[in-house]
Amino acid sequence: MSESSVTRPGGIATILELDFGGYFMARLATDPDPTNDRRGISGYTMALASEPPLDQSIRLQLDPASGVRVRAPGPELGIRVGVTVREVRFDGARYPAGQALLGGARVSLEGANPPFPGPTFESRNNIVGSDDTMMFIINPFDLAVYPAGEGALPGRGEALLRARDELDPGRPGVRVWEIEDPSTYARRLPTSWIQTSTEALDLLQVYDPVRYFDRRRVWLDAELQRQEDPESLEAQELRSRIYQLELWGARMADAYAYLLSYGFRTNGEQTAHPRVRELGEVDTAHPWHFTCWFGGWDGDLLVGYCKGTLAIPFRPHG
Amino acid sequence: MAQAPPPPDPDRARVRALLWDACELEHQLMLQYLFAAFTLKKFPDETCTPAQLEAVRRWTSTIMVVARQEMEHLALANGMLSAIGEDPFFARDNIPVQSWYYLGGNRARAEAAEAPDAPAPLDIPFLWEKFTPAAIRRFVCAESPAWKDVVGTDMYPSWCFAGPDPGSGLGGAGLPLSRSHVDALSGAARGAPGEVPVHPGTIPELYGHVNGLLQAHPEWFRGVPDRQVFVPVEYQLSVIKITDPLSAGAAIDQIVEEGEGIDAPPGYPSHFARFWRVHRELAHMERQGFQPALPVRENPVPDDGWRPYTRAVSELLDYAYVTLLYVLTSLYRNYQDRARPPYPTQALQNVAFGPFMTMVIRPVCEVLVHLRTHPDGRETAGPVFRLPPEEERMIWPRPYPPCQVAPGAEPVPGPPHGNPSPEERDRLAARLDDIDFILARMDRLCARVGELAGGGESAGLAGLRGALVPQAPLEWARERLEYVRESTEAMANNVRRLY
Repeated sequence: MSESSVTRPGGIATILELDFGGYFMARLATDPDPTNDRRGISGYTMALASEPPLDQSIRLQLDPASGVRVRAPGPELGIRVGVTVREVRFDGARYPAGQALLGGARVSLEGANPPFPGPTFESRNNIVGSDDTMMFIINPFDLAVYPAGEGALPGRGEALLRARDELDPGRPGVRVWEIEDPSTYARRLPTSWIQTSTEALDLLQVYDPVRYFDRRRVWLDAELQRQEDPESLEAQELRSRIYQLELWGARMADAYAYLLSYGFRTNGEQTAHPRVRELGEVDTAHPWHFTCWFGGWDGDLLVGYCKGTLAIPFRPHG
Repeated sequence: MAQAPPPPDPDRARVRALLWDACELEHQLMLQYLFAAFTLKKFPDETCTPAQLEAVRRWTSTIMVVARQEMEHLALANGMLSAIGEDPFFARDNIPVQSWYYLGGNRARAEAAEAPDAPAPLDIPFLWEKFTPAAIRRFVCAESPAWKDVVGTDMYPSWCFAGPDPGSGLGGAGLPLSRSHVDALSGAARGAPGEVPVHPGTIPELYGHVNGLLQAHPEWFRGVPDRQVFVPVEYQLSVIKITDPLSAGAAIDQIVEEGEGIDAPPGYPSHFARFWRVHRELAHMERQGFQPALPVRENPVPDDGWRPYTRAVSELLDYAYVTLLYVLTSLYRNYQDRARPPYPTQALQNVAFGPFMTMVIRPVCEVLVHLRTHPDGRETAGPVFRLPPEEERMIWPRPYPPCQVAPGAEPVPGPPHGNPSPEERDRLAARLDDIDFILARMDRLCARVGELAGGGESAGLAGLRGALVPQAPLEWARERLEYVRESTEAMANNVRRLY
């Protein structure tokens, strides 16, 4: 890799930092269901009969055409899926020019992990990860930052920034289950798993996850009582959600307080849109640094919160 | 002068036999519950609306919870065997069969002392039966507390005690009687005439006898906690380490509380209470045309008339199931808590708990129940988990106890598949303890499921397309099998890396 022109003498780069955050959705099957279960039976997560099948995919943005929506009472609670850039800094200080271009930009994890249509938290019931210690890689890792907006994301060519990471740079595209030595992708595993994180709880202002799900149970019971036809699809779906809270409420409350952190330097292709390059010189030759946590996982609504930073070697023009 | 060997201990032979019977029962109940759970629909159709499918999902989940806890009970019973220095026991009689313990006469005898006026309980047969009202009623009976504990309550399963009812699925099945290891004992180990009946009749009573013997013999516990397979508390499971009479007693309390709800607080979700709730909900929803289960044949053992593809998947499942029993037996026999080279425990544990059951056995079962058995029929196959005698030989405890309980008494009969010579026993033991033997089976499983998953327009794909019922998407079934192949390959890689 050649030396970057934005690297300062002495090898210390100046950094453009994008802080991002927001709710994500992951419609995933949970242990002891098989990882690729489409409906969810034994685990605490499920696709209701009126919903599309579970697809494991991590969605930082919700495509309105996907037919997927946040279950009630998520919207009433202010839960809206969408991870966006909150603050842009250069060299540790607020960077107004960067904020003007990238503030509110939509962050997306892209690519597919067949048979799933998007990136997933990879585990396969402890075969290539660990459900017990939350050792999941995000697979594949293809991060894109799109201009701020609503609705469907624009085409891939419109991404302002893009960074990919290969599990095994020597074998691009290799499937994780084909890699015999897990140390190959150890750098992609979580850097920490906090079982009771005050950071996520504080941000979400939920200080007692047990009570949070107790209230959900009360809300679901009330909704069920409101149903005119006790055998309707809506009523049966409410019963299924109540059933899961009865059976797995403690596990859901535990998982809500989890905080799973990632941090690694990307080793794949990195690109910057001309609009970003108008701001300054973006170093696409040296690794970018991605850090992020996932927490506040609501196993009933299938959403959680994601917060992180993308750090890019950069030098403004002029 | 050489010391004479200690005299054979009839109590020891008896507790071993009781635990073997307990292992068989837990194993057989678990498989019957799984069979019924797998037959429940996963896709809506003209006889199961999306709304009804939600109820069906909850019933499947409930039965799966109970089945997992039966696995836990099997693990705990094996933990008791290891704690007293015995080999694990994962053998079992094939189903259909009539268990000694679920013969109405034996259950009546067990209840007679405390409730002489109790109505005669019915035989509870062990069957491969899809989910039906009759099946769930049978499950309620299998987990029911004694008559005196349910009569007069709002959970009184009258059909378990009333006279023969053709619609109940109980009684009159004319099945072969299961083996009983207690029954096979002789002399003092079996019990003197007039003493405690050989067949306790109810599961709590069986475990009560086990507990009594373990509490009376603390010297049996050899104090090697490092050899106790355990599973941390999760997924409604708790497999504790059993190292002394106290922990054995706790395990037994856990088993009978989870099953029948004995000594549990009101509202406790015992197996009996869980099945009762399913029975009640089903009765409420029963109406013209509602079919919660797929048209799975009763006792669907493949024969020459079956579709070759369906038969192949059924045989694949049996092969996977037997492989799992080999893994479990080898793991329990050689378990070491502390990791020591060449790490056989860690290698096998990574397969046994979790992945092999959830990522191999279950998806293959789920595909199998969606495959039609005959070219001109609508009935589908089901997982019968066959354990042929030649495979059971491999997992039979070794050495088979030469239980000559008293001078002049008859020795214990050999295993049902013959008493192997010492050389043969050694050969079987060495084979099962060789991880390459397990790996070879995993590799074969991987190759075979790959063929059946098919790719492009292969024979496997054509067979799958032809056998699959209309409501199951072809891509769902193909992906499911392909995922099994990938996961099996990754599991085998993990074993090779760890060992």
